[in-house]
Amino acid sequence: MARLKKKYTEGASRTYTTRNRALKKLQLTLADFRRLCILKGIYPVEPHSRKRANRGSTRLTTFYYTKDIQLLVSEPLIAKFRQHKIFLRKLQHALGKRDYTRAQTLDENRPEYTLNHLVIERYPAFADALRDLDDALCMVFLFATMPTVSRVTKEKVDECKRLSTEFMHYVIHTHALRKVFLSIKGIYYQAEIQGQSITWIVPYQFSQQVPTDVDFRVMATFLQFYQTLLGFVNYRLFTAVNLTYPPRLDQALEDNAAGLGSLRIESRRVEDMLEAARSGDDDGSNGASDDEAGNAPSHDAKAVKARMGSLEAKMQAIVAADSAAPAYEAVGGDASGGDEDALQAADLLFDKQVVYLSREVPRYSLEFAIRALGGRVGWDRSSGGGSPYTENDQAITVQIADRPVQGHQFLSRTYVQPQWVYDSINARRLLDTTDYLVGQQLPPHLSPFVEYAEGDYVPEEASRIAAAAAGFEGEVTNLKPEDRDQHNSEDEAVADDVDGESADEDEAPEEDEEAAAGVEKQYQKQLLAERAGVTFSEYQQKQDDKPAAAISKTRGGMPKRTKAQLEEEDRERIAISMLSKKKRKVVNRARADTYKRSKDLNTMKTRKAEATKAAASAAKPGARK
Amino acid sequence: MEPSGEAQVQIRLVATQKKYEVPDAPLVVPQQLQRYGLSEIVNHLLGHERPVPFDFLVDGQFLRESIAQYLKRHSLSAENILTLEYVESMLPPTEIASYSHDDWISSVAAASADRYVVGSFDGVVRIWNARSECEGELRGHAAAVKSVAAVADGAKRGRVGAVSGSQDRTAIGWGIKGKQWKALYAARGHTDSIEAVAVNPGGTHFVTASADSTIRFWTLAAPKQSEDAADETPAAKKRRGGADIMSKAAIGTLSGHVGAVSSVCFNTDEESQVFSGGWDHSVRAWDVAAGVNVATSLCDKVVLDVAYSGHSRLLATGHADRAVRLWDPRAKDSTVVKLRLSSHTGFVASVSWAPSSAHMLASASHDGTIKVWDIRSRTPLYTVHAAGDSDKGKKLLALDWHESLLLAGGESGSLRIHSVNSQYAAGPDRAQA
Repeated sequence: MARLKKKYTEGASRTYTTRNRALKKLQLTLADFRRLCILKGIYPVEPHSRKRANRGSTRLTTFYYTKDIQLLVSEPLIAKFRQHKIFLRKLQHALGKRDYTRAQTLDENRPEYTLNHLVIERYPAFADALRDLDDALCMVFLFATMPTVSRVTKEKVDECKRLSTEFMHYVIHTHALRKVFLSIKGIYYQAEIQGQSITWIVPYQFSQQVPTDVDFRVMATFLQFYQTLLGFVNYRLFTAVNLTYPPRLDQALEDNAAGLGSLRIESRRVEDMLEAARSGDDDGSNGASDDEAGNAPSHDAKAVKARMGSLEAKMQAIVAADSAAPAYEAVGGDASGGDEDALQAADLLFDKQVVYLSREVPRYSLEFAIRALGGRVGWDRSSGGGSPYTENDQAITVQIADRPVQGHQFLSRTYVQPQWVYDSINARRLLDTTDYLVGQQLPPHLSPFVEYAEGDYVPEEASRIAAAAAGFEGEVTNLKPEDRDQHNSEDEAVADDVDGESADEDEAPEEDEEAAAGVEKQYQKQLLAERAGVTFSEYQQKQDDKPAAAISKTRGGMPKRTKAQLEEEDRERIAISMLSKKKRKVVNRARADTYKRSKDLNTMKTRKAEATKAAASAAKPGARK
Repeated sequence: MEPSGEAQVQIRLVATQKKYEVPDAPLVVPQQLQRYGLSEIVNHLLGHERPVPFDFLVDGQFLRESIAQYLKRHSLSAENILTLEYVESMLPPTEIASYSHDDWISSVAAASADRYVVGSFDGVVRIWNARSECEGELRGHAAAVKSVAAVADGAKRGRVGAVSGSQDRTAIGWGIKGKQWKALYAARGHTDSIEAVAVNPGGTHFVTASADSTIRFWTLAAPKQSEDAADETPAAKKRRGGADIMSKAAIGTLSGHVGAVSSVCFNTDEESQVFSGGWDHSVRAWDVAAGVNVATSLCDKVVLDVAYSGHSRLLATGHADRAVRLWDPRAKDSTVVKLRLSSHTGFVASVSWAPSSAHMLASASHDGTIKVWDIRSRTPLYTVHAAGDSDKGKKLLALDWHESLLLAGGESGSLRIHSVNSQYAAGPDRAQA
């Protein structure tokens, strides 16, 4: 007979372990254990059967995978935590004994640890890190503008500010921004970096009230890990586009609240080359006395100098060939290495625009969005220092203002509200500014993240923008059939076998034919009306007064269905009646769902129709004298 | 800055008819106005109580959209003054009579304002007058009559008044003999059905186009004696039965088409030049005297009808792809379509130019409608549907525009006569350069 297996030795009880058992195994305090789990990315799990997992007990406990806990056993951070605990104990003792010098010495030599190995462990490939970047960015951007609380010190907030600004600079440099949406929760941005779509949210910069019911210890741990991750990611992204990392901070500008402009972004090559040239020069000058020793370094210096000279010419040649990139500047300013991933300058939305931001608009968001799409930005002095344009500058083409009435206006620029910028970015074309002028009632700001499926309510604005975008992008070289005739026959040289018309002329767009038929009908109708003695204004009046065409409906309000549709419905009904009760319930639930959705859609549509009619009738008496 | 937010443009109105002239000063009008609104402005300036409809031409083309759309389409600035020519609109054609036949009508030709020659699929050619009387039922063909042509002043005694081509491979010349219409001769020579006949403007010769891909050229006058075809064997003559109609032989044959030749017409400007269109998608110009194919234009669609206008110097062709195409035979690249008018929803079986206008033409189609076009506009001026319910949708196979009458007939068997008043029917001086 086989040996009897003891209960709870295999299966769920082996795969899951409780939190207390884990603590005992790792010899950690609960706080340390939680911190470690956060840093390693280990989360509690819910087993199918708590009884089996907990060896017969059904008490409420937290479970972890045993394999995860085994991973933690060999974690070097545990030793660091223990060292930290010992340090705290020593410090406490010193302070208790009022031995302040010892306390100070201890504090200066406190054990520190970094999380670099964790980043490498958790994200073996860079694409993995980019995939998880959303959370990191949201956290870092949140704390960049948060007032300091316990556990989140000023240094951490400054670090967050620096990291967020660096990331924004990368997005600006590579023109990676794709979508922006202003919502209640904050400003959503979506950028496309190395093929990954990264979405993050930035809170509005009001003076936030820090909530009291949030556990900031947990947030601080997350923040620590995300700061390290973002630092790594920034380094990798910056070096990928040949920019120096970390970028230098211009303290004067920073003190003047220049925001984005306070970091000096420089191309790496120039830096390196200059460094090399400088060090080469020094070597050369030092080794002048010693020929042999000096030849080698001076040769290096000369070669380096020659290479630098030719490099500049070569760079300019490359830039001239790739006419999209702006002129190359040797040092400082916005360096522009040609990044293959970046959009061509010609494609950028605000390429030819110089935008000036009034003092009441959110500069932190608008400057980023406009610069990320190729525009140049200036701002009012009270928004911060370092603006490249003053208000009187003639080069400014657009001024963003968010006030009810604009007092003094320059004629050469358009005054629009900030929503124009965001809607243009989402629509991927410069929208008509008439709807967004200062003082205008703005159209709805629709989310670009919503994909309208069939059966969803599509707001009028969305369908209008989509139609305009489609019309704009497609059919650039659509020749009319007659033009196509001429075009084709000019190409062919042979006189006898000349094709007067293109073979696929039959595929002339049917919309044209329908439009022409409509024009013809309208022409005939109007001509007959005029011949009957009706003038244009009377005709228009008649059109306005005519009630809206009644929708052809059968009794019961449902639209007419074709014979095929009725047959289809009959077949469906028979098939459903043949199912078992259980399956029928499922089918009916699904059908009830779709029915409810279509009912909601109809309600939305009727409400919209009523609202537009009410608005039109309200506007009418105003329009007529 | 535009007042009240409406875009405006300056226009100058130029009248084409003296009686509708307005002062020359430029006017400022809103850009969104179309023909109707502009017409109201002109009527107001002329002080008409009852509005007269006007049509507006910009740069030789009719304005069929709002001024704003026109400016946008041609990327013009609203700063410039736009010159608009205006002309009184054409009245719609009205049906004035309808004569019914037993069988489908294959072709119709108006000899004068009150004599119409109608060929029908029952092999009978009927002559009608304006008082809805049938002056004669001419029987002589053994099969369906496919085409008729009327000679302008041919009702004199002994002279040929009409020629009819038929599926029995003969074309019979008819004339009045002793107050009766009689067959004067039968032109034999074709080896397949005759699809089209045309008489030259001088009334001396006629051509026949046939499904045997040849075009034969004949004299119009009745022969003194029977001219038998040279290649006809006595056996074939016996088979024919030695009919009492005299035979006529062709002067010449023009071959070049591949497949049936569906239509033929004379060039009224050039001596002895003929245009033909065939099922081989080609429109050919022939020099009849030399017997040579002068020019060929290929289009990818079967040609169903050709018509030439001396006023506009353009050749109009009706096609199976529901379009009417205009060609310029005198241009160097005469192989290129000048204009393509499409609005019909069926094969365009017949086209006919207005006799006194350089811009107007009419087309009849298998969708049962006649469309009157002005070539300066992409869309037709008028669409004439059948009056009676039974005739709606029945194919129209024949069309002729004579003076101010539009004759059409087809599947329904009824010959419809419309009165067309083109108010701006201009004379030859308006022909295109």
